[in-house]
Amino acid sequence: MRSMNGNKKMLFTIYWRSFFIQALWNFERMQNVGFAYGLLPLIRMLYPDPEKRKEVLLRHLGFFNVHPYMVTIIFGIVASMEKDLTEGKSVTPEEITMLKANMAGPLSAIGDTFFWATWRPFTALLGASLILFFYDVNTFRGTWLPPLFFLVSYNLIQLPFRYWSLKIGFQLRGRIVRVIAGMEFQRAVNTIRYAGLFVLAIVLIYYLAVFAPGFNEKVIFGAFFLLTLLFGYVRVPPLILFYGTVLLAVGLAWLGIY
Amino acid sequence: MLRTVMFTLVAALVSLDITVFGQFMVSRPLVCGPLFGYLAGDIKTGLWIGMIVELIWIGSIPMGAAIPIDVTTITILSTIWSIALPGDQRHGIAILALALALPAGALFRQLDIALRYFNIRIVHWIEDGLEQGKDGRINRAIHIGLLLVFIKSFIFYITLSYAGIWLLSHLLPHLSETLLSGFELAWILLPLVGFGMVVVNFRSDKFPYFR
Repeated sequence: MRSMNGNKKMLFTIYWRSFFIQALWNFERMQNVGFAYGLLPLIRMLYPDPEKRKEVLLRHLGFFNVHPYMVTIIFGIVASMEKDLTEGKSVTPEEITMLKANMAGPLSAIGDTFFWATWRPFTALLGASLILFFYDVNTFRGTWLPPLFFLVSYNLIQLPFRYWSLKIGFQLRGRIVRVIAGMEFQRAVNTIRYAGLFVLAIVLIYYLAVFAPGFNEKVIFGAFFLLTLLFGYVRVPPLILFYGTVLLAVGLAWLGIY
Repeated sequence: MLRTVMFTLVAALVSLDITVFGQFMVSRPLVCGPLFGYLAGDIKTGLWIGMIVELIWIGSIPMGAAIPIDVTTITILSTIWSIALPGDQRHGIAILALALALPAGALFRQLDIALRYFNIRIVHWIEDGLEQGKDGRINRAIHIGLLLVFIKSFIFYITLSYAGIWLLSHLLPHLSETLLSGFELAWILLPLVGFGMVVVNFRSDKFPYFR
């Protein structure tokens, strides 16, 4: 029982330290210092002998880079393996180094796709739509609602996920691959994507109804939206799109169309 | 003066969230816009600027070792600048500030890259320490890393808040009415660009890993 509580405390320490994973991000070995920082309390506990500890810490200062949220899974697995290593179970230091390198790529792909490219855009879109819906309501005083909604809904998923995946990585180790495969990230990504497109359709209609005053403006705005879509698909950088739009608007104003 | 220092302190704290601590999304335009709008006294301008920047740059993400243009800087500086400037065409002024804040965002990114090269030296300093049995250097290096980003951001934001306001207030009287009304039109056209970028971001061929 006592060791269970000890594990929990250690996991919480690693969880807190995992927020600093990129604090010393460098172009030579990327998140290596952040990773060693996360494991330092555990390694100090496992290796009271400074000579052996030095070896382990130097081993963890090798190249490492992963999506900052997915690192907790690797922290969990590595913590459990390092523990076994000192207890003389069948784990070698090379296995730990290999695991870090092998898991980082696939986990980053999941993190980039789910958190960066799907969940954040989706919650940001919901927040932005709140701005649009309440922008012209002068009696409405909830100007804090859009950013708060975005922060709460976004972090409601990622913060628990980071702790849960640390715990499950510590308990299950290699078997975690099956858990992740069973989570059906792809299904979640697809569902959120379609939900996002649905929300966007509503936002667009609302925008044209409220922010484009006359019929002509609605047509021009609609055509302009389709044009940006086209430019977006051929990967015109956002920077160019921004300046292009400003130039177009100035041109329209100069011609006296607007 | 004191207000600018306060803005800058908050901005430097918020900029830690971009990379070095947590990624709780406090540094996203959608949050920074209204936050600095509130601090400068015009929350609505901040909300709209935040929305535009958030949506247009919705697809630029820090994948692997890639560092995108800094949307936090764009939002914070354009919000502070546009609210500080005098004039009637508020929305036009905000777009002018935005247009000037984009190069600042690119500059911030360059400084970020420079710092990440400098960090290599600290890594070697840690390794030297470990050889001598000083493993506390790992903890200290993390604190140094945070402090460096904080100091870098503080100097960057305080310099550019003043420089931008100075430049824009000298530029503004020379701009014609027509130009500013063009900017006013851009204020309501830019969200449409953002919507377009959302659709592009959610397109189906973007997720090669799952195919």
